[in-house]
Amino acid sequence: MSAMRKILRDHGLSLAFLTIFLLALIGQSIAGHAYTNEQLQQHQQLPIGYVEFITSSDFLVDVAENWQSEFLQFFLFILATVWLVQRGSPESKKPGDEGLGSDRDQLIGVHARADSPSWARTHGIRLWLYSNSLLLVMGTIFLLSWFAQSLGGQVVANEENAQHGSPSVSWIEYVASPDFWNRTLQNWQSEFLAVGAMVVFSIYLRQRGSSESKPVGVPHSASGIESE
Amino acid sequence: LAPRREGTLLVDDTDLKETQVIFWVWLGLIAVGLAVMITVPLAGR
Repeated sequence: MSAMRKILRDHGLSLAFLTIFLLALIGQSIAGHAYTNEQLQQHQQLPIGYVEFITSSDFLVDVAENWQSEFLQFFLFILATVWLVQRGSPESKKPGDEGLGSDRDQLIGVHARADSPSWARTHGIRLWLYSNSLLLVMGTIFLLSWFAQSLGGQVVANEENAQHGSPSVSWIEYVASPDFWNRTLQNWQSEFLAVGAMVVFSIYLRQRGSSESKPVGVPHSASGIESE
Repeated sequence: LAPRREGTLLVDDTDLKETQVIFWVWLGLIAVGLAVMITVPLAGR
């Protein structure tokens, strides 16, 4: 097998999603540019160029509001699955396993293996940071995306205010505005619905071959760790 | 719990460099995206 084919096979999942992410983002930018120019034409204004559009808050606020909700979804799911279980779901630990797990189960400190990550063998703040690193990174990306949404949304809102002769709003006023929360909550509700549906549907439904599903013949009552 | 997990988390470090590259590409891409989404509105565009 050639080196390139081996790379494509070993990292197919991440490379496939990287590719469709970039294609969807480009598609969003093209459609968004066309839509913006339609709106400008209807208001008897000159169209803007593609580069001007993709470096405008109009485009970036739409990107940011979707990013924040996706990273919030994973942040909450990672956090919730520490403490909550759903009997029968492959996304869940089995009832009784709630919590952080013992050092032995987690292969940390003296229980670390020779091939464990080096920070799993440490103590104190370094071990705490590494033990929560997935949640910390997802949470940081969520907060920064949400902050970006608020900044971009404020610029867009003030552009519209200027066109209508209304006074501009401060950042604090914008994050308390219906526009900010409408953009935020319309994304959150769909994420929470999809995660909940995935947890519940995967109790009784199967996808043969998917790591997100229990094997087809595994009983409905088996939760994630039991079905491995 | 631990032995079963060990059984499913197969260690194969022959591609560790490539895997690290993939990880940093993703993190870098997101960092650049966040930087753009924060600096553009701050510049008032």
